[in-house]
Amino acid sequence: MVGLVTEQFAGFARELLAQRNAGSLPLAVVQHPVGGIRREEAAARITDDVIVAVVAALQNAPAEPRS
Amino acid sequence: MSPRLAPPPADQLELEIDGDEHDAAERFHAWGFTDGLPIVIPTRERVDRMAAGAKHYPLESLGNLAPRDGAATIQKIAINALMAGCLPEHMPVLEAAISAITEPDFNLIAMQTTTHPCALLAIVQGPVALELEMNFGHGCMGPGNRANSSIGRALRLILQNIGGAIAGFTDKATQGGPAKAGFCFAENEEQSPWPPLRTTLGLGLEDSCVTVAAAEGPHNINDHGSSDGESILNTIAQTMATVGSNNLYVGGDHFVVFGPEHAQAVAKSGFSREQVQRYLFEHARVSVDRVSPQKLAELSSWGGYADQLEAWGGRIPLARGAELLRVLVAGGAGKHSCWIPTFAVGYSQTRRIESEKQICLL
Repeated sequence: MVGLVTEQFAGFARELLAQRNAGSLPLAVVQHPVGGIRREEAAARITDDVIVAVVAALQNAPAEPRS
Repeated sequence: MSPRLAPPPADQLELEIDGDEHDAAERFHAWGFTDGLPIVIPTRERVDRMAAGAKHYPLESLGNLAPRDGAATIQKIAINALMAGCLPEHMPVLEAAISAITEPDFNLIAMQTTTHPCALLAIVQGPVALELEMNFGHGCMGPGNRANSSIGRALRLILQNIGGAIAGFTDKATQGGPAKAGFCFAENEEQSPWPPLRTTLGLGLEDSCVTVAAAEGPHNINDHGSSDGESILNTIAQTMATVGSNNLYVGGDHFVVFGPEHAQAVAKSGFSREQVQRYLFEHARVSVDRVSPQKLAELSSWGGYADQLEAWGGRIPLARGAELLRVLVAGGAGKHSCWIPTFAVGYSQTRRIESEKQICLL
């Protein structure tokens, strides 16, 4: 499992996961915001490095992509 | 944002107070244990006295509060109640409210961490409201009454200090709202033309209870002109039918709080509570042509009702059932009512307020 969070909420997500004893869950951090942008713009953010980082996280090799 | 020190380890939390409590109070502010206002310093003797007002035993926990999953023991509740200015006789209300928010359908973790400005609303009902001299009349949702204010504030401190919802850190409300400081009032049963709210929630007239909800502050509804029920209800429905509320997205349950004069005029026109709910359910709707296409796409996907728009005739209801519009009376004289929108990603919960000491569950 990997969490997906925007950069504005990355610190919050880490704090929340730590509080809930899930601090080891890898996070993929993407550009803020996601809400209120056009579908094409959202799709354009799914760059190769994001996919690589998500796959790495799913394979227990934590990485912190930024798109 | 002001800097916030990390709280000390639990074994260092016991302070020596030498007469002047000023330094202790400043320490509580620095640790982030306050809401920014002065507190009553929770000395051991004071906390014991507060806990003695509870209907459960000091080390009993009423559940874990998200997101930190802190155990809501009576002792911890008493500490926060004391800090907020409560009296020992307020403890049973807090016990019932805290027990209620641990219900999964309340969705506490979402309420505590959302960007939405929802506060913890507590509506106290039944004989206990009179015993505690709570305000259910003029200005009941505002300041000025010891029980209303201190119970509401205590709930906020409990959410923060036991639940771990820290404004700006784990409580990510974009703007927040003044109701977050405390939002507690009592139902005006004396002037309600309809049976008390609790009788619609499975409780009896003799019961006392508290209904809790993740709610916004009240939105005023002014109608000094209408004298018949349908005209007043139309004003209320059209006020509720706004595009930006969470209730339009996901429904949930929310509250229409009639001022006594509006309520009596509506009842005089022959409307029962159920008929009021049905009227508002049918008329408090938002036409899709008032919503931008992009927002409509988001609304219908988040709320899961894309395939229902046609059945609704292109008019989106603010609840998924008439019974989810909670109708009650509060306030004093004047031609005002209010709508209390909610977070909607969860449902209000109601708990009986115990009058007898409970069997220890430890």
